[in-house]
Amino acid sequence: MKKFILQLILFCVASILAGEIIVRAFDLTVDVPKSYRAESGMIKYYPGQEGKYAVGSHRWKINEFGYAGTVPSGTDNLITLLGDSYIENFMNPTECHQDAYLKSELPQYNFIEAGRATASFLEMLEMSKAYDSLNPFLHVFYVKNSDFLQSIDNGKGKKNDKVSYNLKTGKIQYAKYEGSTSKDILYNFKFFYYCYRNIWHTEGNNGEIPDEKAIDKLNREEIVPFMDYVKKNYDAGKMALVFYPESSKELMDLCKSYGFKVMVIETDNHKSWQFEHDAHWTCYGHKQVALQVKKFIEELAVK
Amino acid sequence: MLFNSFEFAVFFPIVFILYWFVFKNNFKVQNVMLAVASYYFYCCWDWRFGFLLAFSTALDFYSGLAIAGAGTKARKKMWLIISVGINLGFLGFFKYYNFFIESFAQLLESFGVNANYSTLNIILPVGISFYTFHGLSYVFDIYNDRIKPTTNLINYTLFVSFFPLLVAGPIERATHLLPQVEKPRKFNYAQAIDGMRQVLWGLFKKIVIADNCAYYANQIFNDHGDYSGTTLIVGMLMFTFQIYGDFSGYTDIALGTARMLGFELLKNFNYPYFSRDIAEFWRRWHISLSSWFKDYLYIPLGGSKGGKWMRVRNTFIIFLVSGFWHGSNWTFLAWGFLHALYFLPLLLLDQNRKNIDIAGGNGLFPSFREFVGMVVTFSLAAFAWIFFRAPNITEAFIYIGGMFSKFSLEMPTVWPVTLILIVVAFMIVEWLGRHGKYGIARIDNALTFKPLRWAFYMLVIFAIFAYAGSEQEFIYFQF
Repeated sequence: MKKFILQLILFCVASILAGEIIVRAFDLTVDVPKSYRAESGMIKYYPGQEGKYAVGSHRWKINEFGYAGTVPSGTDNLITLLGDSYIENFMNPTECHQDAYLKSELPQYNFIEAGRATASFLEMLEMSKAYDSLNPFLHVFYVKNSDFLQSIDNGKGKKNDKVSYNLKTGKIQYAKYEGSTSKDILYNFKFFYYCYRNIWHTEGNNGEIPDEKAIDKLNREEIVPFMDYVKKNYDAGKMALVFYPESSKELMDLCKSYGFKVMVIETDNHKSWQFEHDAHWTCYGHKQVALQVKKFIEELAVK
Repeated sequence: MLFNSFEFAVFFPIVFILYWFVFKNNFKVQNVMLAVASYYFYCCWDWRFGFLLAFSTALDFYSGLAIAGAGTKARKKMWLIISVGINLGFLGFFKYYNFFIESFAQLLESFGVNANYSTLNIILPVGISFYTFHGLSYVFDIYNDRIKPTTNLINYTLFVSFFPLLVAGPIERATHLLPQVEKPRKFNYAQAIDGMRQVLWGLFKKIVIADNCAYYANQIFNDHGDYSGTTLIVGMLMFTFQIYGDFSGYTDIALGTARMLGFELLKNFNYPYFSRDIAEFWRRWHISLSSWFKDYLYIPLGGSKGGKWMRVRNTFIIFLVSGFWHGSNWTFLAWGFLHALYFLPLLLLDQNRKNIDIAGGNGLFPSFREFVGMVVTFSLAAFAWIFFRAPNITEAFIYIGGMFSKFSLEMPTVWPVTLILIVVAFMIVEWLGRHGKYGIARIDNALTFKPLRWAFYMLVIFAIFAYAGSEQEFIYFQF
């Protein structure tokens, strides 16, 4: 038995070492940017980081504002594009981002992105403040029903990982920063991270849109106070909302009534815009979305 | 709890440590611990099924004692009938009730009789076909004086519910497993290493081969109307490798885990895709089920003694029952019937025991004749799997029709090159290891330099990690 245990331990150690070498040599894991909680309460990435997304395909960069993407060379006619992991878009190369597609379609404007996975609508609103110094003339938010639901803390469920509006206190509460030793280990030992991603963190769960149908009927007792808060603290006149396909019409109408410009992305086959094992948009999907947003921006410019 | 799940990766080391470290001095306590662990393993699917398993166990245990203790042949027979009747009654109810109700109603409707019927929302208990057959073999063997009944309920409970074989076999015989349960086991280094290696190979078959082939097989079978004939052939081949990787992979994990605990289970697969005729295929595929039907159905029906036509009749009965054992669907009956048809020429020409040893002998390559036989047998088996995979008979025929009517020499639209290369490499390893108990059982002889051998294991482990995550249930759990 002693021999068996000894051999097993030796084999495990050798396997971990070999695994670490293979994963690093063949770039088999995604590089994950390190994040921190800024003084404003927002969770951001440390600026200036770079990394690979997957097997030697493309690299991501974190801009000086702490979000994935690049800062445009010019800031005239600047439009910010804000959202969750769909806009953060680590899974596609730079040329497949909304800012790149829109810039090629509308060269007279400049675009800058800010996204964070699982961001609520309220977090996106807060993100827009990061670019105040660049004086953008329009903020475009890519939103879905759940982004609004997750922006409201009614005291019933835990919303620690979301920036949300507390219905009881009438105040904003920032997301809890969940940095941990286990995460640091996973990020530094790439073989463990590789195993973690492959076994526990299945791709199929990425980018799922939860509760999309759950908002058939708006809970006005919750959403109205939240929207009142938004109206009071943010300039809806400078904001446009791009709703994902199959979003709630009632919600869109409500947003319009609060002064937001609103459009909904239309598609007969949303599945064809998405990765096989991942609900996020592919390059093709991003391009289709950008073509519709382009028309929307043009209409807004005419008005 | 699946063998390829995180839960099992936690469960098994705990069992292993308790078994070999904590309770190592008393095999009776080891048996109790294994029985409790097995019930926990089984109840992870649905705790209510545990009662059914316990009832089935108690029924066969006491029936065995009653048969052995009966004074007359008539009383023995009575106890046997009670046990078999209740066992098959449960199996029939849980597995076939709705099928018979629906089929009967459809039959009446075909005669113009409007049948009002209702089916029940029955959940099929995992592995019921397997543990029912364990129990049945036990009472049959006592009835036929092959074994004496055990008087220890714990030992019998462990024989029926031993977690490595509980949900998808191999279907053990009391003559083989009970003596192992009844005597102390000693830790054996070589046996434990061999067990770990077999578990590794089983995980590779399941996670790398079966689950990946399943992805493409599902894609093609689910939308077969959209694909060309060549793509449908790819779908058929994908399922052919999926079911082999899935079931033989499960068996390897079962045998390997049992071996690590000091038990030797029955061999269930012996490189069936290298068979040179269908008779050989059935001596190499799901061996424990084939031999079960041979011993407890074919031979009692007269076996090969009553002349050619009786052998033909019995063969068809065996294949149809075997098909039906797999599930309550006409597709399984069609699959069994097709294999009976394949078998028929061999039977009529007395050629069914022509190929007993493994193809290729001790050489590196098979002879041309053997190779042709292997290709033909593989193709026939692959074709029959269409019925096994299709949701119903109509879909199976549409699929087969599509394979021929839409056939052209164009490249298939689904052509996963990497997976195909992995499957080819896998089959080469299996071919080279075909004299061993499982594909890499004799790797010590091939890779004598330890670091090289370890590097091979690491490569297999890495492949498993690379493809882990899309955890899929084993196909045979539903049977």
